[in-house]
Amino acid sequence: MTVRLSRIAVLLALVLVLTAVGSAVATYVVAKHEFRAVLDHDLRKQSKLLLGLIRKGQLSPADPDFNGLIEKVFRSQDEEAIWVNIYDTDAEQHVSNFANDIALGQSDNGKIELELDGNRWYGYQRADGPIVVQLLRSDDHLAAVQDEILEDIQTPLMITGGLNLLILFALIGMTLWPLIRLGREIEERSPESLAPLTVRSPAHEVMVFRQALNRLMSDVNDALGRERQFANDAAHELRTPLTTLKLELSGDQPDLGVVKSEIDRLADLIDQLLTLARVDQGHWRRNFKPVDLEALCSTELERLEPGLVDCGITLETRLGHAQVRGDEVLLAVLLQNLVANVLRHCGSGSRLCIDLATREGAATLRIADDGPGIDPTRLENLNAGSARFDSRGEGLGLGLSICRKITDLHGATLTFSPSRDSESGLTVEIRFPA
Amino acid sequence: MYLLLVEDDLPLGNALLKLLRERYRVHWIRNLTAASSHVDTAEYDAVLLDIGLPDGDGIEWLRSMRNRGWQTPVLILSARDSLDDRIRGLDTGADDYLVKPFEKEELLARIRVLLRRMAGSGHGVLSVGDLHYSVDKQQFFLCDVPLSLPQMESQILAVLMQSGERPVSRERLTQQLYGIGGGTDSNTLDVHIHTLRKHIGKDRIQTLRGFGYRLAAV
Repeated sequence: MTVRLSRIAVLLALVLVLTAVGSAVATYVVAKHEFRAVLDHDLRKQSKLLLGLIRKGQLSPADPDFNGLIEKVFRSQDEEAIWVNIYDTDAEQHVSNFANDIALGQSDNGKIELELDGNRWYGYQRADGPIVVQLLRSDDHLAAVQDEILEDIQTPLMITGGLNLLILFALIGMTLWPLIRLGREIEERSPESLAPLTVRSPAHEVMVFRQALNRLMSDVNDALGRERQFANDAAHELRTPLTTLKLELSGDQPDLGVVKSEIDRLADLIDQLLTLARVDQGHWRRNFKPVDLEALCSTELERLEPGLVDCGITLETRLGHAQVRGDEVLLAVLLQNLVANVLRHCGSGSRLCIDLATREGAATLRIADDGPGIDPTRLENLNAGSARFDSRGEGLGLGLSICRKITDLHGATLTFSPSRDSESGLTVEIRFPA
Repeated sequence: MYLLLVEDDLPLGNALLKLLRERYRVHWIRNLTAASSHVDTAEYDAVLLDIGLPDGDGIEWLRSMRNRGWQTPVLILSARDSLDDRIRGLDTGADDYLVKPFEKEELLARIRVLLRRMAGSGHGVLSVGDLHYSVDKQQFFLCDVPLSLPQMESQILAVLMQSGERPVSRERLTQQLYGIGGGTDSNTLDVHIHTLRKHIGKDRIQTLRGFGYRLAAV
């Protein structure tokens, strides 16, 4: 199952908004209820106190100063004023700090709700005998206090909620959208077009991701380029003898010797291509095991020496002990190809010196000849790995590609240099990892 | 006609040499260094150029030669068949591009096209007065009657016809007969010119003292 991160982000934004709104509403409702309760409790206590004072005779509604007293204590002008009604049912007397002639309804204790000049008032009524005391607060006052509470609650909630949303959008902007754009750019790429991705983002992780992808694409591009080059070169190699065959066979008197040798050359090329394909299969490394390179060279050279002798090439060997981790078959193919190169380029009377030793813990195989050598530019290309193979004339043939693949597979380096003890000649050195 | 073949593959070079020698004078070399020195010292009618050569890329060599003002027609013979390679070759200054493996008839036809273009004759017949030369058939006609010339004389007349009525140096004619460095015996050339005059008429070949010869419309 796959999930769209953009949908999760939208969901998260919604949750943040709902949380902020829900918290504000819940806090407001709870605060309103609690505030009402506090005010009710306050009115209840004040009405009890006022009633007690009247019952004990310390205050008398009949006193002409009483009105002035309650107006002074409970006020009558500002919005925090408490509306006081005192009824004496026996004396049928009604005293209040707000002028009104509202008749007493029920005369029991409890909450009451009255209307005065179009405003709602909420309060508490307490009765003791004929005396009934009502204390009420204005609805406007309650609403104003509640608005203040709501404002105090909402402001920090809105600020933090807004900050959360901003951070969320920044995260989306820096990660999700660049990722989506990266996806679109990658969709536009193909093996023919592997240009680097250009998406930019301030997010370090996204840039690291982009760099890794660009590096991968560059490697793939290089690998594809090498494969295309290789396919071109392979076609080149096969087409040249085919052209010779066509020309020879279209003449009146084909040279059958040439026809046969060109067919042999084609067969040899196909064998080498198959060897390369097998080296490329990639299962070799799993089967690597310790190989006694000295024994392997000794056996192979024994087999190859007659061919060298036939060509008038003298073989000198200095085989020391060297052990590597690798595949015996591939290492034998490597040696065969390097010796075949000497056979192809060195004439009769040449010397071939094969030196195997362990230097600084690394097995090193040197194959040096005193043949015609290679010009410095080509030598440079060979060492840079950019030389094209070329089985004709002076070239190293598919053997070069095979040797390079085998050495790469073993983590070894393959270098070409002029032979030390002769002006011309070529030394090929393979240095295995220590 | 004098062709330079630049091909490093021994069997293919031999096969091409065998095929072309039946029709043209051909010089075969196997690398670009030799190609540079040969085009500097001899005047070829066309060059057949392989591009994957041991000492460099034939196309880059051609580019540098064209930059120097070298005009000889070039036919690239290459196993590289991609569109990019062909376009690169033609844009660099090659006159034609033939992909290996090719049929011998196609190679010969393309060489004939180059030579016709070189002679400035799209229909393949060069004329000086009533003397005509069919480049494709390598046949001469005098007043519409086919001429039967010995091989050496035929090659000399072909070079003279390519130049129309313009002068041709003795060196150029000697190269045609013997290749570079050969045929220094200039008397031999005089002998062939003499024979040629017998076939086509004395007045048709004028001697330019100290330089060479030119054809004249009679």
